[in-house]
Amino acid sequence: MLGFQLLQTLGAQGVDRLGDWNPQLLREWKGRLKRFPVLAAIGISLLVQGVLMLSSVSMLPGPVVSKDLVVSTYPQFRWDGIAALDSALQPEVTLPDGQTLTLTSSILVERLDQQSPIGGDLAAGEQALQQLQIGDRLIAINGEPVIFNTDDERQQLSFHVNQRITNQLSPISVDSGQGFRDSVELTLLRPDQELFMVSLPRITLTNHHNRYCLYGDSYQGCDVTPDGQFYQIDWRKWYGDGFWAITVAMVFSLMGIGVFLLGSNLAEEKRRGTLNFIRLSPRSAANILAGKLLGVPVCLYLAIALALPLHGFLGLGAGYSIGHGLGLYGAIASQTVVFYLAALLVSLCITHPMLLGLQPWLMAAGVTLFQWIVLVALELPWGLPHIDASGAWLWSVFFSPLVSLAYFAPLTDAAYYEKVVDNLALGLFRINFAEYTVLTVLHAMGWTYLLGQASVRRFRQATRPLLPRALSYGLTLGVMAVLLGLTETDANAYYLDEHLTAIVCLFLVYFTLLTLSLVCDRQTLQDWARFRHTRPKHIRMALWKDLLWGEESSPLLAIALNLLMATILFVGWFFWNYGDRMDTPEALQVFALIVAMAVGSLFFATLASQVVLLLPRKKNGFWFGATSSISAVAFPCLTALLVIAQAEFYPHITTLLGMESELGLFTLTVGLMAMVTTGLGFCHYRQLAISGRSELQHLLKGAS
Amino acid sequence: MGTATAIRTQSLTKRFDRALALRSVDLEIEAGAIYGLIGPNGAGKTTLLRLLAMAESPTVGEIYLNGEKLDSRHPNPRLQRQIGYLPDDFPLYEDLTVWDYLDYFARLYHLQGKARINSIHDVLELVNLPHKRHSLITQLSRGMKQRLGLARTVIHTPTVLLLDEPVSGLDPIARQDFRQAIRNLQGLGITVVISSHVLSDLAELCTAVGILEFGYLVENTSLASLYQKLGQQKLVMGTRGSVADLQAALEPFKTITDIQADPASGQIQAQFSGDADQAAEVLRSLVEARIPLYDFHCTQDSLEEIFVKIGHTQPT
Repeated sequence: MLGFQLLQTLGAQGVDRLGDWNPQLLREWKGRLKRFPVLAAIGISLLVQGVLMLSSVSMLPGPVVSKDLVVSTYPQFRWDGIAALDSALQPEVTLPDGQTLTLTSSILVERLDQQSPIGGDLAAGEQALQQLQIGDRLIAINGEPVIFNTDDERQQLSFHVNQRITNQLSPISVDSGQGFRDSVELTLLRPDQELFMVSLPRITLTNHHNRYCLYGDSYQGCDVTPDGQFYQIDWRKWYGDGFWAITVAMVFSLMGIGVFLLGSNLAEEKRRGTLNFIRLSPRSAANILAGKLLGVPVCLYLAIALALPLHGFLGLGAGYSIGHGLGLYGAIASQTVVFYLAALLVSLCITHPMLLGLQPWLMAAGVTLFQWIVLVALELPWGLPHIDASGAWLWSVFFSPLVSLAYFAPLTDAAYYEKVVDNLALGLFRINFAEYTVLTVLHAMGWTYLLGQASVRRFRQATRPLLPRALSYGLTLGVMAVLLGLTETDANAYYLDEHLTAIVCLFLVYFTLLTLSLVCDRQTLQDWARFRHTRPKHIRMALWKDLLWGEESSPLLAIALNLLMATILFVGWFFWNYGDRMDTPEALQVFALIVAMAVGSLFFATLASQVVLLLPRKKNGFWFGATSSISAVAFPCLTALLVIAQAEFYPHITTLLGMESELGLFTLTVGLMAMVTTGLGFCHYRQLAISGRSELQHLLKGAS
Repeated sequence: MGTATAIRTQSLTKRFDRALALRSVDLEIEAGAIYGLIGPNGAGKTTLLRLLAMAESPTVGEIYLNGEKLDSRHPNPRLQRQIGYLPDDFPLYEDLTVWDYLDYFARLYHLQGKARINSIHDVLELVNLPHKRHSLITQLSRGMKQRLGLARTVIHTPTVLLLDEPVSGLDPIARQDFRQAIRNLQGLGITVVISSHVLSDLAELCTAVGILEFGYLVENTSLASLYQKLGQQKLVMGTRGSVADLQAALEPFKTITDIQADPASGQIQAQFSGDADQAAEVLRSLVEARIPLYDFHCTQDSLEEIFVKIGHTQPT
């Protein structure tokens, strides 16, 4: 109780008030702020910070050592290709064997680098630099004409020329300081001048490379301090990387460990049965769930809070403003709440004893994997700040606080990447960090409202649908608006397939979640069928209203209406953007059949799952899931198989039902699906009718 | 004005799948009563208590608590505070101390400041556990845990207390303690509904009983009426004189039937349908008739005998 006693000592009255406001929070704190967990949280936090800092320090370049040094000249050259010499300029040179040769081509000076030397006659070098200019042509090194005969030499010209120059210099030892008076003489030609000679002093340079070095223009090696003992360090980048590392560790801990703790706590409460007591108390579900959310991961919060001073220090060191930091914390906090609420909701929904044990692990693994995918998709580990997503996929980035890190590229990198960190590309838009933070927080608030509603409903009554049907219609409109709107920002016929894939995949995910949120359990449906007519008239709705707005009736009509709304929006959007592609009746036919197949399959899957739900069998959840999944893909697979079989075995059949054979097969399977759906619909109606019979009717009709 | 009704149900029905666990139960329980729910396993006692506690929603029907309708889908916190529910299997937070556990529930029920502390002290006194207030729950015996459960249930001073098999698994002394605690609660004006298979306890505690069978409430009456209606009284008499004289002296009384005589011991047993005054009248007439009695007492069918006599069966 170390932590809790400390809290009580600090403010007994405050703790008491806190407990009055949220007893669940106080209970969780009392249960968790004990000696061992608190010390463990502090220890782990400090250990992780220590390891990260040690690892960061170990990545610094350290002092200059002799193995990093190379012999070079001052200045250093970068050479261009071999260029032909004008006949008037072609010099005659004498080879070492005494032969005379007329040079028809020479090598151009492309660039002159001035990397700071560790040692050498810098003054002589500066003097040589005065004589040189870009465009000079190299004729000879120490009187030896520069001629390249092999292809390899020509291909890596600059490297080989520089190698020939340094080969003229005797090897040196920096430590002994010997040989610094050596130099090499280059014979150069300038179009408006005679041949001239330049004497280059021999110097030592470092060829050490490190992420945290400051580089001159040459980027050939780290810059060194004036005394030549140490490398010059880009501290902002180092601080920035430390800031990144702690942020990523923070996000993964919050998401992985936090979700695990919440899932595990709810599973434990369910196993013990204590959740029922809390349910029956007069406290609101929101109050209790908030207590869980703030209380269960309290040791994790403590560990993260301990990392905040170092995090802030590194951020300030990297040159980020306090506003940026607060925005980042806002984004992380809001997204964490979304994932925690989702974890609470899933935990409240799972009742199977075997899944109760697995649930925390599965949820934590799922969330961590998602964050990792986002991290990789954003290419953040490589320090490249951009969001590699377009169209509807762009939505996924708002589910990860790691996206914020795109704005936290080290400022030196930001200069390299043309200041993209100021305005991050988001589809067609360019949003700055403030806009990003506001968008993220608003987005998270929307999900918090939805997940909070669903959690509260499920907490109060385990059989209640997660969402009211009235809300589902608005939600579908909103989701379609986001999906199509994001695609619209990048609407390009060239990427049509990609966009459609993104829309279909994300809509499928949404539709699955929506269906799970609207379906009732078997008991509720049976009771609705049996006792609907016994309800007092003043509270009994008309059947169609009951089906569309009620919560205990069959959800099929509501799900169909949601599908219809989504389809209308999608078709409208498609014709708005790609209507010109529908210029033939065949194209329209294909489009209509594809839409009918997709929408029909989804409805068929829902209907089949409802039929299975009302069958008196055990493991209903398993059958519900299996039937839905299989039904959803049954007809598209059948169509594909028929098309393949026709092409394989009956290639001579080119028309079917007066259409192309593939189109004819498509039409046939859509027709078949319509028939089976109608049959299944009738079957479902019969199930409800039988469920609606009284005991006496059951006895009389012999049905059970 | 008659006594106020604490709980009233109207056509209360609950289905599990297609099986009816409760069938149109119309129940009325007077305020301040200790109401016993009796019935074989699966008769619907626990379901009825769960519905009253708002732990389940009825399929059909309505429940009124002190005249106000309960709605488990949209529970009214004010009404929730009037209910205390102790289910058959009540799990506890084993990692908490007795005090912290009660403190947590007191806060859940909006008890604040001194009121909360006094309430915790009171319920600990009530269930005789003040000496254990700093003990971890895991260290308590089963009987103590049962009493702690009761303390938790009454910490917010509910007007209605619902107890499902509260004494199952307790030893006789623990049961006695528990009964005493229930009596104390009744003294505070709390209406208590108990479901139990230990009918002797119910007979000792209850002022009214309801008998459930196959989800039907087959009896809902005061204990006295039940005894009168279904229970049988016997007069047991012994004489040192002639058994035939005694038998003859009893013949004028219409309340006495089915006389069985044992001449060897001089004992007579007879069914008696009168009340205490009528029994006294019988005794007076026998004394006046100079029958040399050495024994005269009246026995009553126990609640268990009445229950068995009704012929309950386990639902299948």
